[in-house]
Amino acid sequence: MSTTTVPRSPLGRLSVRRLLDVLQSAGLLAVLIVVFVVVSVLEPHFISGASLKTILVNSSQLAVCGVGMTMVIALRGIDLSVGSVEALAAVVAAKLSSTGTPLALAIAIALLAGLVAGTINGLIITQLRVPAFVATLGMLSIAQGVALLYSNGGSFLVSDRAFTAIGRDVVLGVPLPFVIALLALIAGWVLFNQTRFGRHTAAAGDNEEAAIASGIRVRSLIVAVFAIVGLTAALAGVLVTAQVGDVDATVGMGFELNVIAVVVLGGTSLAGGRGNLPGTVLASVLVASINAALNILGVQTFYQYLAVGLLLILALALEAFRDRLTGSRPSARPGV
Amino acid sequence: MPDQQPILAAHGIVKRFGGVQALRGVDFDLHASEVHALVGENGAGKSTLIRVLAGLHRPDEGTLEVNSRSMRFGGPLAARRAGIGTVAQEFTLVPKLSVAENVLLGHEPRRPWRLLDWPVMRRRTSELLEQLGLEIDPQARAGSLSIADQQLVEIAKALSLEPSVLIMDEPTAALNPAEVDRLIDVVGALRDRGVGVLYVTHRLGEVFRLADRITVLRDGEQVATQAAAAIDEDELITQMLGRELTAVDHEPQEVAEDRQALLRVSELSLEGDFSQVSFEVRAGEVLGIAGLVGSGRSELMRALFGLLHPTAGTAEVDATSLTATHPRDALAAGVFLLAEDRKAEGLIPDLSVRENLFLTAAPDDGESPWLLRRSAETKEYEQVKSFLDIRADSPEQPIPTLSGGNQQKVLLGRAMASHARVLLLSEPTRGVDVGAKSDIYRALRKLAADDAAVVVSSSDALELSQVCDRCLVMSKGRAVRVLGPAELDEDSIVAAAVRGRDDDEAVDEHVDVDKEQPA
Ligand SMILES: Nc1ncnc2c1ncn2[C@@H]1O[C@H](COP(=O)(O)OP(=O)(O)OP(=O)(O)O)[C@@H](O)[C@H]1O
Ligand SMILES: [Mg+2]
Repeated sequence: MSTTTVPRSPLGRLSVRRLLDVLQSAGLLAVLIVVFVVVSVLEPHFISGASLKTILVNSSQLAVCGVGMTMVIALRGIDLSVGSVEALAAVVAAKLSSTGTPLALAIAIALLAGLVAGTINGLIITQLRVPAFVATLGMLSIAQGVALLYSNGGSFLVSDRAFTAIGRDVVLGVPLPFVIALLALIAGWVLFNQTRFGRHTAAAGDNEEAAIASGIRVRSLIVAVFAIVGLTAALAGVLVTAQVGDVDATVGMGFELNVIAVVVLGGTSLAGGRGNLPGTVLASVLVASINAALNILGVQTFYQYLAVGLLLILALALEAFRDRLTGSRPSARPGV
Repeated sequence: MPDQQPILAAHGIVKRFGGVQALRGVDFDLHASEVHALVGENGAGKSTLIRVLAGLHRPDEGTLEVNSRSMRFGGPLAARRAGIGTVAQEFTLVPKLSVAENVLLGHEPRRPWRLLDWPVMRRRTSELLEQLGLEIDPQARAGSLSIADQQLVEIAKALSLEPSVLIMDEPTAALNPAEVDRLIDVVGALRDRGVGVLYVTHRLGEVFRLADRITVLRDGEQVATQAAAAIDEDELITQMLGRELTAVDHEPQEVAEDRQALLRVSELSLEGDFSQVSFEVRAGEVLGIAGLVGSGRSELMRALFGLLHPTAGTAEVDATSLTATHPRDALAAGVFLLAEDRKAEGLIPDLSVRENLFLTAAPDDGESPWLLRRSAETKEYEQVKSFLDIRADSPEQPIPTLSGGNQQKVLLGRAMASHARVLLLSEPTRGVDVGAKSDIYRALRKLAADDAAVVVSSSDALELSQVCDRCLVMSKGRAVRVLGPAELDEDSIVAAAVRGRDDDEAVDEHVDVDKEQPA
């Protein structure tokens, strides 16, 4: 209508939000480097190849499950059952493998168990209209129970060399579990950022009523996303079995909190609508590094819990700060 | 009045958002007992100026004075304490709390031990509501009130601190004509009591009914500040647009008999909302739906889109029966609904303008149904943007940073991108400026010319007369008349909506009808 053109922002096509995502990742990287430098000064052999490898291997379970959890949180849900589901998949894979089931089949069945648990979560949430928090709290207990029953309370030693090799092999210098985590990241990133499914997930997490009124089937979306996080939890369980070689039904204790922590630390908003998958993976590496650093400095393992808790609070404070910057709090929204 | 000191004065206000200059040195002042209207195109900077005055935005340059004392930026609370009350267009009521709790939120009267003093709360709220001439129960839940009543409760809330300045951003955007009249009376009464009112609206009729002075903004620049009596509507529009308004040259047309009926609704009923509504829309036709609040027209639109479930009757799209139980089904059948409440049911605030535009539809040359094609989306965004004249800085901007009218245009763009053959549009130009309105009417006619069936439901009779070929008039849940091309004008639409049934049938219902439409 009028010919005046609005001046372009100096940011060009990069939105403030995307820029902050990038900054958050850069911030994580900076913290990571500081941790490495400080710890290396205190304890020179921290930077050795062996401990780097340990860090990457230890971060991969968090990263793999974090990919699924990022999508759940972007949908403004939460999954508290990932630790139990991880344990269930771990004992299923271990027991089947130790009783002679072919490796591929054992792994497939373990993954299927996670997928089923996740789907059940989704159905409870959408069909019985139970909040995700409550539904997955129930599943936490149920999956734990099933894992205990299935394992008869015992542990299994994996004898299949091919299985434990998954936890030890190195591809082009990168530990195989971390390669798997990176593949999960790529798959998750494509799904979340490059497909209609991902856009609908963000939309439903942000304004569910508008999403429904725009023709998005939010319920199917919820079931699908919870199925995905169940699958990633199970994949994390398979990785545990491969790395440890000797698992019982308690391996996943406290896992859910760590996963949620890395997702939030990575820059995904608990308020839904946003997800930062690369941030999640980077935060997994950071948490694994801090744990390794505390280990190598001879700090009691219990302090690792404190560290994760502090990081989580820091991450949430950071999120509040971001919201102020982008003006995405309602009071700062330009009106009509 | 010029001899008096203004109660609120802003000098040389500049506000930038990144590279966007929303305000470029605006001077504004407001006297006691004055209504000062602020008008301008979508994105001109009206809401931004209001937000600066209300302490929500810190200006980059410029000064503020309240009662001749300079005021430093101190946030919304400081502005409230300084006597500036604001009624934002976005509702800020807490739906689950009572009216009294909402009105006195944050400064509730207390008894010892910080307990709420309920009797005093109820009395104070009743007094405030009474001043506004409202009969609302202070104990009713805010969420249960009609939009108009909620708007008036917002005003009561703003008045609870006895402000000397009341700022209102498009308070009538969601109101029907009768409710607008009531609000205008309320504003007039406030002025008589000495309150200075800053009033933003796109409805120029209201401006001339209410305003003592008018300030015009264009692209963040102050074009003029003048006495309302010194200018007429055409001049005002020219000031706003920087050019003359091209008249809408619309002749309603009978769509040829041989065109197929794309949407055929017969005897559709939804208990409590509407009953036995039948009509047809042909390809190439724009059908209007008129009716007062409670006439059931919004519900009818929602039912056709699967958001409500009709209890009887049928709807057919292109001769196949439409049984939408979810909007997805309706979309699949080629039906699109532009929702009436753009904030609750339209916008996804965390997504960008581009992502909002292509929320469910794919761009024309985005052949894959699964993968998103960002470049194709951006390309089509540019077309939609110039077609609807959307004022946005970048497709990657979060949608809440667009001005209200431009957000509405993005949602219209979403309707266009859907390539639906049946377009149901509820209040398509809500919050849109005069210039853009006629552009939108042209866009809707073009959609029809490209063989869509367009249904426009609107509370604005002038709008219906300017865009429709035929108009269905609803009253109390029933379709009472269809106005054909020959009889389609603003007055006959209003008359039909108010009268309800056809004259001969209406006699026995006369009393009811009068009650429904306050003079
Ligand atoms: N938080 C923000 N970030 C970036 N740009 C913004 C922000 N708020 C407003 N703008 C821009 O400032 C300009 C003025 O917007 P404003 O909301 O004041 O317009 P308006 O006159 O109220 O329009 P409307 O009639 O459509 O409501 C617009 O170009 C808008 O996109
Ligand atoms: Mg505005």
